[in-house]
Amino acid sequence: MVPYPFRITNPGVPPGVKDPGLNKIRHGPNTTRGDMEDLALFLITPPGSRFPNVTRTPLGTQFYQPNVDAVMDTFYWQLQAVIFVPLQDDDSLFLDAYDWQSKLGDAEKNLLESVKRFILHTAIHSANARPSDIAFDRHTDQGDALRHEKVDCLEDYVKDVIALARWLKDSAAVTEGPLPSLKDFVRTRIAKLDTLAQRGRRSLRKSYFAPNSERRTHLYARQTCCVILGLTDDYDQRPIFGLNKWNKDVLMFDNLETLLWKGFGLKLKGDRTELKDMTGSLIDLDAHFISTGPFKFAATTRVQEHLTLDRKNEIRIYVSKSLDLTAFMFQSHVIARYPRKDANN
Amino acid sequence: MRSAACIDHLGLEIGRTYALLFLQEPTAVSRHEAKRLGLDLENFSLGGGVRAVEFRNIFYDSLLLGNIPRLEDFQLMRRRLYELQKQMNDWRPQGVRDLFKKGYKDPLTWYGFIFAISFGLIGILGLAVAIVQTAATFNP
Repeated sequence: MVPYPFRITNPGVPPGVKDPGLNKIRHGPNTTRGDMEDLALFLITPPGSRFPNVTRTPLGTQFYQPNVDAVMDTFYWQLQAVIFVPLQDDDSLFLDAYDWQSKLGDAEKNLLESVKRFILHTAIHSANARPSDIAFDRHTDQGDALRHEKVDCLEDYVKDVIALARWLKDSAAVTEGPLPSLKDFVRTRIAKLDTLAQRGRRSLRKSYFAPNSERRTHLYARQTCCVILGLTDDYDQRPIFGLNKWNKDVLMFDNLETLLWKGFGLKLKGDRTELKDMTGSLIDLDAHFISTGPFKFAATTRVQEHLTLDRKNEIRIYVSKSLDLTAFMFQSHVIARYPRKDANN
Repeated sequence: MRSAACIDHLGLEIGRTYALLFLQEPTAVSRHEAKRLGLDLENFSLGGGVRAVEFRNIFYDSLLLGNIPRLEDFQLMRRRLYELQKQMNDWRPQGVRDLFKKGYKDPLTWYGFIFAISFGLIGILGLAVAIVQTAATFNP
């Protein structure tokens, strides 16, 4: 029988929601690596069945969404408030014409689920303290000691996401001068958290945003920004955040402009003067006509490649598994449509 | 409300580019291409108990200027569409194989080339036949 800290009392209901052990993992301050190991096991174990004799065997590395929700829904509103405009405040013309708020809600839910899985993935990975791999040394000579090592709790990671979402939002609101640098943000936040820890107002960060962690924290911050903007397969292609390896292959950027360019192939706030000169009919951009010539079509899962030509003369078309969700992805996204101060001008 | 990053309609605009490419002339070839890419452009599912809506109605008929699609109808994708159109028009054969591919601009030149090639081949073939016939005459 595997150690299982979160007892299932009511089959069908997400288990462990009010478990004291779970609250320790969520809010700290004495979260240990052992707690994170138990959390990892909980997340990959199938949810309870209505039938009492069904054996629940952990499978693979995939997180089960009901378990993810059980752990993370405490933070749902905080994350929702910082990433999305409330539906009732949405004044999009598109939504006025078609009452599609349920679909908008689905798109929002998908993105938040991705954020939640990412936070858990990061917390478990960081607790392992071996950046290249996730493996739990339960049976080594030092196993017991390792399990008691202090690690960052989930709330720390949630606060990181909130801080980075605010940084993105502030970047989007800049109208003049250079855009805020992510490197500066990381440096400032590390210093701030360290000062608070020195004063005894919070525990010292152990992994990201810890002292002398600028380089790896920058990678983590970039990864977080990509997740907030849905720039990951986890959003609508296939779930990638689970009990798997930490991906170091992350877009290189240091401000919002570069992120939008590299991530979506779009310029921040557009370039209206340049676009003004681009006029004309698009009647020849038709699949039938195009396929009679030298260009062919190819599918891509990267938004930034949509409608671009590759070396093989193939026009890449962004293909999403849930097109209807993608269409609504940014409708109420706070960074995509954050109201500017001059909104009424 | 104005957008700061101005990308809130990205998903919708991607949908409209699908409509532009695959539903402008909904022929069997266009449908086949869309199917090969895994795009379902028949109905757009709205979820939440709302009935599905025909994809074309949503993403194509909303294009302005009398439903003739124009670059001005797109904001986020305008640059890419412009560049794609330019690449199509600027395409020139780079190798021998490319000579037999019809470009998108000025098809008359390509047909002229094919016509010339055909007559050239017929001429060469005629010459070969004449040589063979002459040889056969002297060497019965």
